[in-house]
Amino acid sequence: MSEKPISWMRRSLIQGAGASAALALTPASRAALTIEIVGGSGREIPITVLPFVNQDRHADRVSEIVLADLLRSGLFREKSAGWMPRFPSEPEEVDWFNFGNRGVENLVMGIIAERPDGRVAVRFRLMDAFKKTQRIGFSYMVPASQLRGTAHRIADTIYEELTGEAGVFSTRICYVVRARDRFELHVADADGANADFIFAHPEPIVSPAWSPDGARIAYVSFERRKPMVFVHSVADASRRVLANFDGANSSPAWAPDGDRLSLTLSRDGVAQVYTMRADGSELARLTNSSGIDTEAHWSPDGRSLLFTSDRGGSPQIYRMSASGGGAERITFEGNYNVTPRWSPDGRSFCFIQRNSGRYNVAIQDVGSRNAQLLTDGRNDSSPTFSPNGRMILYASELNGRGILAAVSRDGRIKQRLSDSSGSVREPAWGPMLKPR
Amino acid sequence: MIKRILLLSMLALLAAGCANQDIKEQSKANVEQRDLLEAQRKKEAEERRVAAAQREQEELNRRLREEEERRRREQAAAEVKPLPGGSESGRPLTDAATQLRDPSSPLSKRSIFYDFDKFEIAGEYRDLVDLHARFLIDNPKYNLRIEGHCDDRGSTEYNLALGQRRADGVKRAMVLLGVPAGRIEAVSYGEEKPKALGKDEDSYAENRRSDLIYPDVDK
Repeated sequence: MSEKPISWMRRSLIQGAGASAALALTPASRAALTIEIVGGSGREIPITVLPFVNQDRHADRVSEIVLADLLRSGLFREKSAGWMPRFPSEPEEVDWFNFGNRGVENLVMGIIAERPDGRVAVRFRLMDAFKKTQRIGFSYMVPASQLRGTAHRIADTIYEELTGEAGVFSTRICYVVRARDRFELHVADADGANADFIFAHPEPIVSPAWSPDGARIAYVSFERRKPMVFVHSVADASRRVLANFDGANSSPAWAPDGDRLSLTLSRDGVAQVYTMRADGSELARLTNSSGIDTEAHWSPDGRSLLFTSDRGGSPQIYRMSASGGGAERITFEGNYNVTPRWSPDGRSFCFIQRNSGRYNVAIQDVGSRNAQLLTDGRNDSSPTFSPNGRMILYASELNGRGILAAVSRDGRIKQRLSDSSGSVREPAWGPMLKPR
Repeated sequence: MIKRILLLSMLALLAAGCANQDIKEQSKANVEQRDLLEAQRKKEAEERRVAAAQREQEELNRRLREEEERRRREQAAAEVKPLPGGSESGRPLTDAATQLRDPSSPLSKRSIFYDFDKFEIAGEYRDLVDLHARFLIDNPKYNLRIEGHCDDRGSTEYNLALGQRRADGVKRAMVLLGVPAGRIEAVSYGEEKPKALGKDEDSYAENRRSDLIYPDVDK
């Protein structure tokens, strides 16, 4: 397991507003996470996370990971309790008068206890400091090595309780790092921690796509001196060729049922969209045009696909039934609209739009067809929704180097992630894993 | 050398053996010893002749090798000159390889460049495509690999499809000129293998290309 320095940056879209503060939120040994907060809309939920009792006995400090997760979402602001002489772990130990006086609203407290069998018990409560009542609380019994994962689950629970939407702190992302002499397909926690590569090769790797159950990643590898689609098991690292036809094999996308994939093949001439079962059988051609048809992406209900086609003279986004047939063009602004990705609720899609020479992430409402530009980079690409639909992770550039960035679907929250070991691109956000 | 040592030790044994024998036997032994020495002299003379002959042969071989080397150099020098006329069929492989490598040969030009989001072969590259098609027809032992590339702006996957379209377009043009389709492999690297790393229009233009690669010559 490699420990790559990865840093997240957060800033509001409104530049220059409010004070700037840099908070180092992880132990120095990790030195991985730095969150920069510049300004803010003033609408964040105040949160106070007290240090969990006994957490200093472990390398992963639970309360710090929980707080970092919540702040990085852009929906919370920290209300510090640093003035406290000692920290309680149970409601009866809390001096409620002092909390109320200092404007604490949402209070998280917890305790960690080591068990003789080597496991640890982690208990936390989210308290409403005004009402002096518990909103939600859980205890977990886990191996000490899973403290970080447990902290993410706690953050997910708090996030869902206070915002009403599912948290994605326990999810994983994958992306391609272009190191000095090879390409590496990395899998990491959503906060960039625990990054490690699952495949590396001197020839390029592109277009990773998570299976709906998060167990496999389909991607395009050039290892045999041409683009071919592979399916890679994340758990046991086994891999097999899914598509190796004449010409280019690329753009894998999983149907929501996980049984089928769409992909782009040039075996019959210009690139067209096909489908096949996950075992490689039942190949069927889905599009039939004289132009490039590629980047198909399944709607959450599995009934229709968005894809990129230049059949009309410039690359635009089209929609068609998953069973084939006619396609309807749905983007009209500008002459370069590519890489459509459905939002998890199926009500909108994000894509890349060229605007006066820049390539940026945009989002369009499926019903009204209203589109909004979300980013302002020079060459943004490969957008991918978080599984709760709140954020869009994408590839961007900083000082000529590839980095990952994320923007909220309303454009207000922006984050940056970079890996010091190389240029980063081709991100894909993994699914929500059940059970939580 | 070993033979000589053996011989001497045999003589020593003989001498030792003679010590207790009568005179008759001793003179017989003297005769045998003389014969042995005579045989040894003949053998040594023979060995000298063989060694001399060997040296002579080696000298001859060296001269032959030098001669061959000189001939090869002269031949290679002659082949660098551009050949008039169309057909060069039946020429040795080294000749064709030289044409592909020689910077002064038009066949050393191996890239076709494109405008943004375009895959048609511009008029200025028609002659280059013709020339390589004719080379492939005249040199049936050579195969061609066409690699299509794009600049790194926009979609990775759209660029992959566009690079394939560029490579396929060059292949189709060559097949129309008479090159068997089975001898040309068209692949796309999309935006993955830029030639120029800059983020300016000149670099982008250099990256939008189809490269003609002869695997036997270019490795």
